[in-house]
Amino acid sequence: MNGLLRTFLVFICLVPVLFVSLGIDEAHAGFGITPPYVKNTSLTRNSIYEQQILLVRSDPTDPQQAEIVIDAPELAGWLEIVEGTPIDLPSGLQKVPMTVRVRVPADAEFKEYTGAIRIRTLPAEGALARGSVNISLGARVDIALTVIDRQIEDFRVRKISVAELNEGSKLGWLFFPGKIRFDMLIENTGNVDISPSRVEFRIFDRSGQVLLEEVNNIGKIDEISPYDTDTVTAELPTRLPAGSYIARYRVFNSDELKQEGDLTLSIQPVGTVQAASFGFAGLSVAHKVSLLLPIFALLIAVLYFLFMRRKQLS
Amino acid sequence: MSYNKETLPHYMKTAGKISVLAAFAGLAVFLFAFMVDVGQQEFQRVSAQTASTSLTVLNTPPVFLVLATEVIPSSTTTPTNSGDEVQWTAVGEDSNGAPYFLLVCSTNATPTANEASGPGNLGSAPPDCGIGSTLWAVSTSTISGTAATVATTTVEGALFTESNDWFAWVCDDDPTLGECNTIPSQGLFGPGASSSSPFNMNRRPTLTNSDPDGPVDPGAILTFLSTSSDPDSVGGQDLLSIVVCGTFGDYNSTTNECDANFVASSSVFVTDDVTASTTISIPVRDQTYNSFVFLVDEHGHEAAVNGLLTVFEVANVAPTVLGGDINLNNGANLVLTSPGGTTTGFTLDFTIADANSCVNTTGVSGSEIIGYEVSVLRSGPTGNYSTSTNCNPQSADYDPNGCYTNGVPFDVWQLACTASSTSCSGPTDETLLFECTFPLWFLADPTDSGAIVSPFAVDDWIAAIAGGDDNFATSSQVAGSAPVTLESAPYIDLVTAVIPYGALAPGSDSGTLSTTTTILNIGNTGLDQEVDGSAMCPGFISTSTDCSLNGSSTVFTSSQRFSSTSLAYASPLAVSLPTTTIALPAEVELDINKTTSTSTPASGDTYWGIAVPTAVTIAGSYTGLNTFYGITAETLDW
Repeated sequence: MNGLLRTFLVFICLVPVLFVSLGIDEAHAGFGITPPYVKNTSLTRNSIYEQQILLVRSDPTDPQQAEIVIDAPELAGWLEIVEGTPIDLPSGLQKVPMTVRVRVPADAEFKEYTGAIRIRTLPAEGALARGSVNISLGARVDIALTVIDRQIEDFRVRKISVAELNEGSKLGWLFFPGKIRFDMLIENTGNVDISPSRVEFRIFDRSGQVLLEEVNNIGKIDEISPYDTDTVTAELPTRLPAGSYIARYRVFNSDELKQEGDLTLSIQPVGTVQAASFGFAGLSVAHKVSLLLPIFALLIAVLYFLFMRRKQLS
Repeated sequence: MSYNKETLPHYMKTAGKISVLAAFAGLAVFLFAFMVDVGQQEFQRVSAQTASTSLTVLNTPPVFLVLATEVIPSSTTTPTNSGDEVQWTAVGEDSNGAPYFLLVCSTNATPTANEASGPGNLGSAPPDCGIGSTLWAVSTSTISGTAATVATTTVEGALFTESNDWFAWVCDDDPTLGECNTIPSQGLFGPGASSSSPFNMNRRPTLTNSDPDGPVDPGAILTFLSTSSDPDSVGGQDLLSIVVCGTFGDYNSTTNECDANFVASSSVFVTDDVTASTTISIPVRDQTYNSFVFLVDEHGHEAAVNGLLTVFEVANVAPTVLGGDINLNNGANLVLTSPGGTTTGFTLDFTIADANSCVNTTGVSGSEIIGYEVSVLRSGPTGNYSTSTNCNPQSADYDPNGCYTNGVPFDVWQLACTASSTSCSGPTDETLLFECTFPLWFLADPTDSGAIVSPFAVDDWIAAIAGGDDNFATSSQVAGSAPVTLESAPYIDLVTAVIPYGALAPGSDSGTLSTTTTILNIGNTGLDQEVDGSAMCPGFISTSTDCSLNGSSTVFTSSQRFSSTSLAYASPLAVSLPTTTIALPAEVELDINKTTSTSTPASGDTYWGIAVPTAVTIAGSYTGLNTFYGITAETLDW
């Protein structure tokens, strides 16, 4: 009886330890990240690579913080959260960027590295249900990095466009062709500076049946840094008159065709578009020679004159 | 005199005999006439009167100093078009210095020179052609030694035939005896001479009908057919051509060309039913067009009834789309940022071209290109979605996982497109730019190759566009040249925000892992879960540091156990909860599939149990905080 009494007293006095207080709470905001990885398979020593990851909440009514823990022993010192930690998740803001910067040391081994970054949302102060085991949501960023000892020259063409241009114009006997400005949004997927090696245009009439002109870009195309994405422009000359054409473009990385397609090429009468046209570089070889030859001849004559005069004086 | 007897033997037989005979005959005639008539009277006068002399010197006809020629040579190769003049010129001279006339007649019948009424009226009586001869022309009185020019206007169906002989004389009108030269001139003959008789009249060709073929598409060849012929045959049948102008007034009869609005002209000349073709330009609006057909022969002579109104029609053609003119999300990756919902604001720009121009006959900008069919889909080697099979707007295909088309109602997919107000500049412009925004559901298939490679990574997302016009003609769907990647987005949500363990006495446990938590997959990947937690205590605010960590009022994380299935709390398979910040989270292999239904997210349950150590002596409400990490499941578990 004493035993029973003692048990009853303990039950009354100490128990229950309550973990439920008050029924089932409805689900709160969803959470996640995108993309859920930091991946680069062409890192080189001393290279810097950045990956932006969005921290996303489905219901950003309350402000929160995101606590970030890097779990990558092999990559100690390589990784940096540019925004610092924790990261504020303000109310009303559904997505907050988090930038992971990878600095590859000069003595990094050439191999694959893995790890994880965990992001845990911290509930706002006073938001916890008392007497409950609350649940906060988090996400895991998988890290997959490879340091290699070779150069990779590669890129991806993400977007192309071509602006309207003026038709070519004549100045004396010189014909300055129209300048096609072909913009390309290039993502450098290699680990060295790169630009398209060649851009080719085959220009057809509007029916797409009659090939009117075939041209390649003139001059060098700006380079994109490793892992970067930027817009570069290829300039191509055209001698076609004003009109609407179909251009079949091809973008090359050395001999590799990276992208091809058709697009509308609209050439306007001279002076219609506020855009610079080709200068000397756009002239045909014959026209270039016709300009340079007299200049060289004059130069040689002057040099000869000076030489003869000096000879006479001596 | 001597003869070669061998070559002229006949002469030797008759030489001298005929001469003697003729002399005697002549003498006999003379004597007879003298005695019977003439001689009697003459002899008497001589004998009876004083001798005086009287002589009337008769007028002599003018002569050609320069033979008559056609001023503009008229020949079979260069005939004179009917209605035009044939001109002759010549220089005559009269020995008396009298004026002369240049007379051109159709035959060589001797002309009649007329006499002026008196010496003071010289040059007033032009000559006439001989009997049966047509007078082509006679000049005005012309001073001797100067050039006379004369002309006649050719007329079809009158005296003029296709080839007309002419003979020219120079005549005077001497009051006593007007005279013409004896031998008429017919111009200069010989190699290269074309100004001589006859002159040729080119008759007009005949145009009785004209019709275009068609309707024809822009860029196609339009042929104008004609019912036409030419009556001329001398020197070969005349070749014909037609010229087609946009308006009647555009035709220039001098140049036989259109001064403006040129439509077509014959490239091959034929003798009848000549045609002309032209390539219809691009762009050109689909409608009927007036044109005027003019028939001309090879000598530039036009039909009498010319400029026939001919109506041709340009057909409507479907618009076209080029892959490079499709710009999906400006080349950026598609990033889903609305867990469990739709992410809005993705962009799609595309240009539709129409060979009928971007405006129709109303002239309203963009009025020709009024429709578009849009598919945004995951496309590639998997072949899961294709515009030709299961992702076509015309079939109202739609699957939020990988195929969005505007064939479905707007409340299903809110594609919003606006035609650029500036891109269509008028009838000479064939393109129209559309700028669109669209949403994607949270479960749209990712195509990236992250640390865990998406099973759809071989594919990309593309936009495929078809254009439609005001005649409901639609192009085929064309895929954009620059595909984009859709990024993985593992998003989780909870059915309950707490773990409802209930009430336990110290020294007891839950017996089984009977308390469940459910996470919802509101992202686009397969999901697993990692968990960790903190110690529980009555004074818990946000972390376990709020707890005293005194055993009497703290339930440590190790007291919580979990599993992906329901187990006994004491089961060795039940995993103790790791402590946040101290140990790594533990993974719960939930293997939640990728959600494929927007209304029913995939879910996974975690089973929980807890024990309250006997050391816990403080009764009350214990608060704690566990963390559920959503992680991307292995590829096979999607």
